[in-house]
Amino acid sequence: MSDDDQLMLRFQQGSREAFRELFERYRDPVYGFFRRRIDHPSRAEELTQDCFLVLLRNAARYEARAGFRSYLYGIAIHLLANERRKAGREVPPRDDNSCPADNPNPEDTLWVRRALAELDENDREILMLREYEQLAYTEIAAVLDLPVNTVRSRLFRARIALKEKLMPVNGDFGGLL
Amino acid sequence: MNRHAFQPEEIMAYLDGELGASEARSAAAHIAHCAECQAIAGDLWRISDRLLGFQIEPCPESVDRRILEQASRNHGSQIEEQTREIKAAPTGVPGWVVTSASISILAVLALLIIPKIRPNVLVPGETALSRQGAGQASLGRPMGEAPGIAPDSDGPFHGLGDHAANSFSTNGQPVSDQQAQALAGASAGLEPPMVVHTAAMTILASNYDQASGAVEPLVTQHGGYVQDTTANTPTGSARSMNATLRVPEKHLEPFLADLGKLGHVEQETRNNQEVTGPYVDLTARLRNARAAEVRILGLLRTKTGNLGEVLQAEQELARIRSDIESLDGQRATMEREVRYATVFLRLDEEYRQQLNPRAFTTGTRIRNAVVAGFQNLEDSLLAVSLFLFSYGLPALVWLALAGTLSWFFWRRLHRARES
Repeated sequence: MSDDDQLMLRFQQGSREAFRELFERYRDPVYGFFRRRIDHPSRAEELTQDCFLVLLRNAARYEARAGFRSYLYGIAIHLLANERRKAGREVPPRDDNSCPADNPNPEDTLWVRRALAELDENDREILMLREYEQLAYTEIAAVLDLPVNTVRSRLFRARIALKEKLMPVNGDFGGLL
Repeated sequence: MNRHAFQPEEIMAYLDGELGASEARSAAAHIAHCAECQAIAGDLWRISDRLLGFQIEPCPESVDRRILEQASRNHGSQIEEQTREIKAAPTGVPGWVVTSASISILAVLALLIIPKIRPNVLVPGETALSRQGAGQASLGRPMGEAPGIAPDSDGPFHGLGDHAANSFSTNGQPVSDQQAQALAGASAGLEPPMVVHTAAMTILASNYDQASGAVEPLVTQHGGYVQDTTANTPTGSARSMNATLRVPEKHLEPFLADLGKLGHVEQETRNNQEVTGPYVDLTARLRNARAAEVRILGLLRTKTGNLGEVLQAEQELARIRSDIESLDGQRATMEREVRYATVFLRLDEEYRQQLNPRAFTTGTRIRNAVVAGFQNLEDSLLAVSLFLFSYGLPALVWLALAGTLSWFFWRRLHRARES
């Protein structure tokens, strides 16, 4: 059982410090999850709040089976799907020119956003969960309800597709295919 | 590509740290000698490196305040109800009013609080990286996760409070013991001296059932839990219960006082062990290991040369992460020991011998006598049978021999008399 799971179980038993610790750990990652997938920062903020509220609401029913991170990002994925359903369309990563003020490489950010937006939706989600949320293959499989081998093959496909889009920029990718 | 022992997907899985230990070793050995796979690994690495360019600003503090307020209000079954109330509440107030008010309050608080906090937060060598929060910190890790090591969800700065996270030096300089001591308590919310409290109590309870039933509610009432319990209920003698109880250190005194009310306290012992030194040492080692992890991650991110060196760095990273996990676990255990005092309880029943034991009825006594008689008869018959089977045959042989000799001598004596 991971440290996160233990904290969650302590929170179930009434420890506020345990929740505070979990929140400290996952506040920025969860916000980053929504921020990279939602156009509007304020909406990403609200969804981050909703995500932790759902975690609070369902704390009593939490069982450390698939792991806390799978559970947390499962909630986030669910909220994101609802958000997209409400919008009536898929919300790709931002394709505008705005970047965080303290971003040292705004051009890189823009390029990555555009490259990600061109990927297949399912492949992109797997790639982002791996690269930004740092989930293991098994955790991604649990979050998206997919077989682990499917996650691996789609992740590889996404990276190859991304490599194709990288070619014009660096031009030094000769290893993959 | 098919002539390779490893497919590109497997190379990717190796770099992601998703292969088993033996497979990872084989993959590492293969990549070290295969130019084609080195090129694949290099490509995958560069893709991952480019993705790091998608930076996100830290989560706004307004979210912190709202969520933590809810967490502090919500408890147990109240969580669901109060969450509903909170989610419903904003509908009555325009969003811009709430946002404006929040920003104003935060601005005032920031002006009052930040100047006091800032000197404790920053250390020389800190860069914006340590302010990026967990998600951004984890981006410092290249795609080449150490083989056999699961992706570290915590990232290099996770598991510590803001003070601790910001104490890292991104240039990899070790954190001194003094810094660690200053920050050790802060990271865990514990104040030095850190003391592990232990108590043992033996209680003689006149009403054992009531006392034993009251132990667990009492522990829960004081915010603790029952670690283990053993009940002894022998027939014809006093019952007893041994339990190991954990209660928050701050509740130890009132808890022991309440526990003493369950009966007559026959024995009470206390032990307080200071662990500040070991804790500070552990924290310093953990910080230094994490600083080393950050340093290696930085090297991996910027290095573009010899893959063998990169693999070596990744192996070192795996070793350091293993150390970090171990140290983190030790520290968490120590913190738990400090936060929760241990109480060893022995609860004995005040047993009174029964003066008027219930007598057996006459019918029962006759029945028992009859049963005993049959039992004795059966036992005696069995004993005789066993004796005969055991000694009957030898006895017959000896009797026959003795009879034959007697008859022989009697005949000779009889003939001698006749002659």
